[in-house]
Amino acid sequence: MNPINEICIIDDDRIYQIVMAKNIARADSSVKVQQYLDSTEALAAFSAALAAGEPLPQVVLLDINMPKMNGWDFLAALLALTPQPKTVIYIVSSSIAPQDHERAAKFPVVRQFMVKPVHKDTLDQLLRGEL
Amino acid sequence: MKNIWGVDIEVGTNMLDLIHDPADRARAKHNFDQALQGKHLMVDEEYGDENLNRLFWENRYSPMYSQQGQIVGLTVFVTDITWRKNNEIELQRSLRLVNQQNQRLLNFSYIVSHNLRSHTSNITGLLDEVTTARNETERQEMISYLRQASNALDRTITDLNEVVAIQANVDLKTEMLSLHRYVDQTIRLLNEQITAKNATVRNNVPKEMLVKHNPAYLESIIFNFLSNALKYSRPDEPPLIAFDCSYTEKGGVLLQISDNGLGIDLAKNGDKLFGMYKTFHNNPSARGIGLFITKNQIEALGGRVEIESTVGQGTTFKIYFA
Repeated sequence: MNPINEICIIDDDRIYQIVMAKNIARADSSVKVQQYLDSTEALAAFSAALAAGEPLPQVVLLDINMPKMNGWDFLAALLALTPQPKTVIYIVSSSIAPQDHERAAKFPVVRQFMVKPVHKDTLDQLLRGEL
Repeated sequence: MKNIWGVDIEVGTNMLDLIHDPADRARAKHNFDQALQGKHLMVDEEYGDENLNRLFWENRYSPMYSQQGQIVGLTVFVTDITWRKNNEIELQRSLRLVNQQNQRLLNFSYIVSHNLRSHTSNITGLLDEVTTARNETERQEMISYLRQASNALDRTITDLNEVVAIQANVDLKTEMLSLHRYVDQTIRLLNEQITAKNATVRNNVPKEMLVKHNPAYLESIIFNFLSNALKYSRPDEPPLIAFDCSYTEKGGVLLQISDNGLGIDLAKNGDKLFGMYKTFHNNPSARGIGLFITKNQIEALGGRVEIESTVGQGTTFKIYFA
C-alpha cells in the first residue's frame, strides 16, 4: 500500500479521538484526518461520497463498542452499500475477547485488529502503508 | 412387581395387561419381544410405581430355552438403580451450573479488561501529550482531559466493584418478600418522576404473591425497571406502566413490567441489551449500567429475565424468580 494521506477515525471515545489525531499530526502533518464520534454520521458521509462518485477515505480506524451503531453493524451497512469498498479498515478496540478477533477475521475488508493503545511505531508503520 | 409397575401379578396373568401407563407397556412389550426373538439385553429404564413416582431400573432380559433349543419364555432380572441415577442427574445439573458460571465469569473478565483498557490507554496517550505539549495552554488542555479520563476510570472501577459484589455474594441472605408491597414502595419512591411525566402506573400484583429474594436486590430490580420505563417513554403519549404477576407452570413466580414507551429494536440490539455500557436511545443521562446490574441481581439468585419489545409501541420485561 502507498503512504497514507487520508484517515477516518470512527470512535465514540472523545479522548481517544483527540490523542489519536494529535499522534497522526505529529507523525505526518500532511495526513488529512476525518473524525466521527457517531458511526451513523460516518455511514451517512460514506454513503454520500459513494453516491457522488467520490473516493472513500484511504484508511478507516473503526471502534467496535459504540452506542446506536456498533462497529459490526457499521461494517455490515457499509458492505451493503458497496460489497468491495475501496478503503482499508483497521478495527481499533480495547477488546481482547477472542470472539471479537475471530469475527473481525471474517471480513476481508478488515486488514487488522488492533488493540488499544495504538503505539507510535505501529502508527508510523500504518502511515507508511506498511501494515 | 408392585414397586415397578404399581401392581401385583399372579401366576397365569399376562404381565403386560397389568401395566397402566401405555408408554411403559409399549416399552415392556418391546423388550419382551426382543428376548423372545433370542436376544439378551440389558437396559436402564424408568418406570412408575404405585405412587406415580418414576424410578430407575437396570433390567436384563434373556430368552428361556427348552431342551430342544426352542424359546419358550423369558427371564427378567431387575435392579433398582434409582439412587445412582438421581446422583448422575444431580451431578449433570451441577456441571451445567458450573459451566454457565464459568462462561459468565469469562465474559465478565473480557468486559473488565475492555473497560479498564479503554481508559488506561487514553491516560497513557494523554501523558505523552502533556510532556510533548508545545505551550502551556495546550498542556493545561491535556491535563483537563487527563482528569476526565481518570474520573471515568474511577467510575468504571466503582461500577465493576458493584458487579463483582453481586457475583461474589455466594451466601446472599434471602427472605420471602411481598412483591405487591415492593412495587408500591417503588411507585412512592418515584412519585415525582411519575407526576412529572403524567404517567399511570398500575400495580396489578396480587397481594399474596411472595418471592424468595434478597430485599436490597429486589428493591433495586423493581426500581430500575420502573425508572427505565419512565425514562424511555414516548413524548407523544402519557406513559402507561403495569406490573403483573402470575405463577409459571413449574410453580415459579413471573413478574411482568409492561410499558407503552419507545420500545427497542430487539433484532438489532437484543444481544446487547443486558450488556455493560450499552445505551440505545441517545439519552444523555443513560450510562448503560442499570440493566447489566439488574440482570446480575436477578441471576445471582437463580432467576432470569426476558424481554419483548416493539419499536414505537412498548416493552415488556419478564422476570422469572427461581
